Amino acid sequence: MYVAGIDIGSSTTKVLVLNQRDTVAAHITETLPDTSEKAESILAEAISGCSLVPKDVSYLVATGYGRVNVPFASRTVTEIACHAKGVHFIFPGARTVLDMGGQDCKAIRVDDKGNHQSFIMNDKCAAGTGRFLEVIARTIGIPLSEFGSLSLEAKAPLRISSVCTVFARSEVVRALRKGVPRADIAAGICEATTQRVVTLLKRVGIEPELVISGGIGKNTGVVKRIEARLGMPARIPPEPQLMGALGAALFAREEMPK
Amino acid sequence: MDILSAGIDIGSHSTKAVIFDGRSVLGGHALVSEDDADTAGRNALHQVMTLLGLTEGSVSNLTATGWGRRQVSFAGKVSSEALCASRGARWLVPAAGTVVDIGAEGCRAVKLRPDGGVEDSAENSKCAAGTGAFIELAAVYLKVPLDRIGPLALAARSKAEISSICAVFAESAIISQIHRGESVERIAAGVVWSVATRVTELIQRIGVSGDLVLVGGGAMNQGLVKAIEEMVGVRPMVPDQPQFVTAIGAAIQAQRLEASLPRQQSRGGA
Repeated sequence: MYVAGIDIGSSTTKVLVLNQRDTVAAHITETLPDTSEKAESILAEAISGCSLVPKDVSYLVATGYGRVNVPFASRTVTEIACHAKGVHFIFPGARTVLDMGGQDCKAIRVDDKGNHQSFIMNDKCAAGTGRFLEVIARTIGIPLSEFGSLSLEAKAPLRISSVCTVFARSEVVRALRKGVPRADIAAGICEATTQRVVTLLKRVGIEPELVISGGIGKNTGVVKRIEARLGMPARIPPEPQLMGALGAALFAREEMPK
Repeated sequence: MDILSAGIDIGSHSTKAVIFDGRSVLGGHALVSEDDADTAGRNALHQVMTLLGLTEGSVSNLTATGWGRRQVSFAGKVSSEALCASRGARWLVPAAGTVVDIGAEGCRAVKLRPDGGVEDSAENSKCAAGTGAFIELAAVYLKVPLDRIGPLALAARSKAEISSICAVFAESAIISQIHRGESVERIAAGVVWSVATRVTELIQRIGVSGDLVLVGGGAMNQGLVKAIEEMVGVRPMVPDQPQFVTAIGAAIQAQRLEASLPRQQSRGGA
C-alpha cells in the first residue's frame, strides 16, 4: 500500500511517497506552467527509482498553490495544514513554524497534535520571500545555495533601506558598482529578510519549539540571524522543502479507505 | 532685466534643471541621476545655463527638490516635491486641483489649496508596483524601448492579466505570458493597467477636485494616462514635458521665497 503527497509550490514541486511505515520516495523538481496537469508524470518520475508506477499509489493528497488542477488527486488540503502536519511528524514539540517558499512566507502556530491554530501569511509582496533572495543572488552572481554561507563571511553588512525587491535590487547594483564585497551585500539581504520574517513571527506569537521549513531552512545566513534575533534555537528538518509534501502524504495515509 | 531663478529636481532616476524668469520657463535639461546628487544637480544646471548662454552668477535664486534635495550644497533653499509639483502644475494649468506625480520610484497624489499650496497628499515610495520602475522592467522583458509601452498599450483591444500588487510577481507573470505567446500589445496594456490601478488608489484616497493634472515621467506614457482616465472617470491634463513640472515648481518657489524675504537677507538665505 502506497500513498503520496504532492506539494506544487510557485518555484518547486515536491512529491513524497509513504508506505505504512516509511518514506519510500521523495522528489523535488522545478514547477513549470503545466505542472498541475502533468502531476501524474512527475509522480511517475518520483517513484521510478523504487520500481513503482502511479497506479500503485492508492491515495494522493495535493497541496501548494497549484493543488487545484491536479487531475488524479484524491483530495486537496491547504498548505498551512500540510506544513503543520509534516513538521509535527518530524518534531512533535514544534509549536511555531516558519515556512518560507519561493513566493510566500507563512508563520504558523501548531498545537500538540499537529493541527494549525493560527497563521499569518505574506504572499502579496516578494520582500520576505524566497524570491527576494533569488533575485539578489542572481544580481550578485552567486548561486542561491551559497548565499547564506557567503553572508556569514561579511565584515560590514550593507544596510538595505528599501523593502521592495525592485528597489533593493537597484541598491545592490549601486553597491556592486562601488565595490562593496558580495559577502557584505549578501549579509545585508539576509538581515533584511530576517527583519521581515521576525515581524511575521511576532505577529503570530512565538512559542518554542520554533521550526523553520521551506527553502529558507537551507539558508544558514537567514536561519542563524533569526536565531540570534529571537534568542532561541530553530530546528530545521533534514529536508526542509519536503514538509508540505510530507504533511500531504500523512493526510493521505490517514484518510485512505482501509 | 528679470530676476532669473533655477529649480533643480533630483529624482531617483533623472535630475532636471530649469531656468525661470518670473514669466516663462527659459529652458530645461534632464540627465540620468548619478549616485552623487550634488554633482548631478550641478551638471544639469550647468547644461541648461550653457544652453541659454547664461554666465555664472546670473541666476540669483536656486531651489532644490526631489529625494536628493538636501545633498545639493549650492542650492539656496530646498522645497518638498509635493509643494514643487503643486506650484509647477498650478502655474501650467491654472485650474489644477489634484496633481499626481508619477516618478521612477514613487508616486504621489496631491490635493491643492486655493492658493496652490498643499492641502493633502498620499504617496507610495515603498513599492515598485504603481511606479515608473515597473514600466521600465516590463519594457526590458518585452524588448521594446520605454517610450513604446504607451503606444503599444493603446493599440491593444484587450489586456493581459498582470498583478498590481507586487512588481516582482508581476514580472514573472509577464515572462510566462511571453513564453505562452501572448501579444506584446496585450501585455503592455496589462502593465499600464496594473500601474494605473495603484495610481488611481492614491488619487481616490485624496479625491479629485478641479483639474486633475498628471506630471512626472510616467505622465509621458499615453497608455497610462488613458488607463487612469478610464479608472478615475476624469480626463487628466498633461502639461508639455511633464517630467519638468516639479523642477519648474522649484524655480517658481525660488522666486516666491526670494520675494518673501527682506532684501538684504535674501542672498544666500537658507
